[in-house]
Amino acid sequence: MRDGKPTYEELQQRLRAAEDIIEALQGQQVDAIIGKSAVALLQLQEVKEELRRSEEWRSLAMEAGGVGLWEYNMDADEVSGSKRTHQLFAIDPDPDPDAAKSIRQVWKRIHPEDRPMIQAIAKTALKPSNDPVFQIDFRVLRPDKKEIWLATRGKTTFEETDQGPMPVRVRGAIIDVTEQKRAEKDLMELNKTLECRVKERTAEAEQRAIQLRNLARELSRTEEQEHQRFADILHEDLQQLLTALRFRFELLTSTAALKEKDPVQVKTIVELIDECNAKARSLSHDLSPPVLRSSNLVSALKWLCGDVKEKYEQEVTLDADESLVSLSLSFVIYRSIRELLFNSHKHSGAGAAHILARRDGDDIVIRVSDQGKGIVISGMERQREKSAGLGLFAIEERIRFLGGEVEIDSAPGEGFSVTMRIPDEVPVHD
Amino acid sequence: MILSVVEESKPNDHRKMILFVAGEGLNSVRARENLLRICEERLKGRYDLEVVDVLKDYKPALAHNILVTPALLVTEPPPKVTVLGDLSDTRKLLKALQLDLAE
Repeated sequence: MRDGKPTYEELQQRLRAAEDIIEALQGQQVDAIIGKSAVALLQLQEVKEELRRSEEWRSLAMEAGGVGLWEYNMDADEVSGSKRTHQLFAIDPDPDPDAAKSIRQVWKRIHPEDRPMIQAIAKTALKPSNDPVFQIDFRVLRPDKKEIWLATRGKTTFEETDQGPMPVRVRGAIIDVTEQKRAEKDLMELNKTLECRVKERTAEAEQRAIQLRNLARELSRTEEQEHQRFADILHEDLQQLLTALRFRFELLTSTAALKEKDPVQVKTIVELIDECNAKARSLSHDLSPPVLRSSNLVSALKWLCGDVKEKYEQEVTLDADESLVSLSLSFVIYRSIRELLFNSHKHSGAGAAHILARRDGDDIVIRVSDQGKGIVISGMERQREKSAGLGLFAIEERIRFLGGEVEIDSAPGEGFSVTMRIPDEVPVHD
Repeated sequence: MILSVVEESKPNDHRKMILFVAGEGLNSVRARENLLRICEERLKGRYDLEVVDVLKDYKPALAHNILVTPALLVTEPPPKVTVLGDLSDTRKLLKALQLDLAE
């Protein structure tokens, strides 16, 4: 312990050592007691007498370690103690030795809250069938209002009677553990404070994470709106203009002699205008699928399956919960699935893919899988370092920002599967 | 794991102890007899025993926190153990010396 003070454990060791000494004395196995500056020799024949006379020596010896001794005599209903014990309880034996011996005097000093516990332990230790050794930590309220912590170890001595073994006395050693208890309490309080701080910090970090997720969602909503705006411009303005241009051009060529003069040129121009229009429509659809705007996620996915089959000859099956219809995340999910299907078409060589869309508690779970060539995952990790913009990793980033997780499962020849788990709605804390 | 293997292959077989006595006091004489008997039976040649007579010099006893005699202090192998009294409790003595009860 810091500043050289003994620890609670060391004090307990001292108590145990004191208890050993008491036992050796009781067993009359001691022939000398060593004090601070001399040795008191005990003669075995008169050891009992000597024991009484050597009380002072014993006290001296024990007090070297700050240990007090006490004894409770059942027959006389009296307590006695060494000088140190009297000091600890702040009881002065001098003016009235009889009063000092009263158990009531001692009992009065013990903290009221600790009395029931002491009674319970004493009751147990007085039964012959139980362990006669006991240990108690308790508080003492001294007349000067000072509260101290004491630790005591004691042992009950039984004597055989006609009614079986009966307790005759209890002897013990006692030591002041106030400092150690205080240190223990300080440590506990420090721990509590630290725990509180950790909790605060964790809560703060969680709050930040929620804010970030909300921000990410806000961002993807804004992005969706922007895409819609572009799609609207393409659809409503550019396509209309192109249609008007074609109409005017056809009008012009039908009346003018141009068509007869250079029919190939005219045909090419019309075809180019048509191509522009088709590109604009396709771009508009890609940016903001009309099906997603006009209906819901599940319908949009059904449409996507058909679209992929038509465009890439890729068979796609869909297994979706109907409960996923109205989601604030529809746009992100739709785009991620489209990207994954495109990847599957490009890399797997499987010609078929499967979409699974489920609600799992508060989460939405989406899996896109195929039975194609597969990939070595660690090889993919290397690729990730090279190009962060790769479709799959962009999806991963985005899902993580939204508070979700992405799991990739693949091995060469064993297909490829991506599972996304996204919390549906982020709890709002303010 | 490694520690336990080392302990098994090379047990700490050597005992070091100090017996504190008070001259020819009856308990001290008994303690010496009891200890020597066990040492001869069980630890032949594998122990160092120092006997300190506190009547001649009690300071070593205080230095080791020994407050009564007879007292046996086993210093090796660790942990330090003290046994008080005439050492007639063989079970207690064997335990302090880290010896099996049987044999």
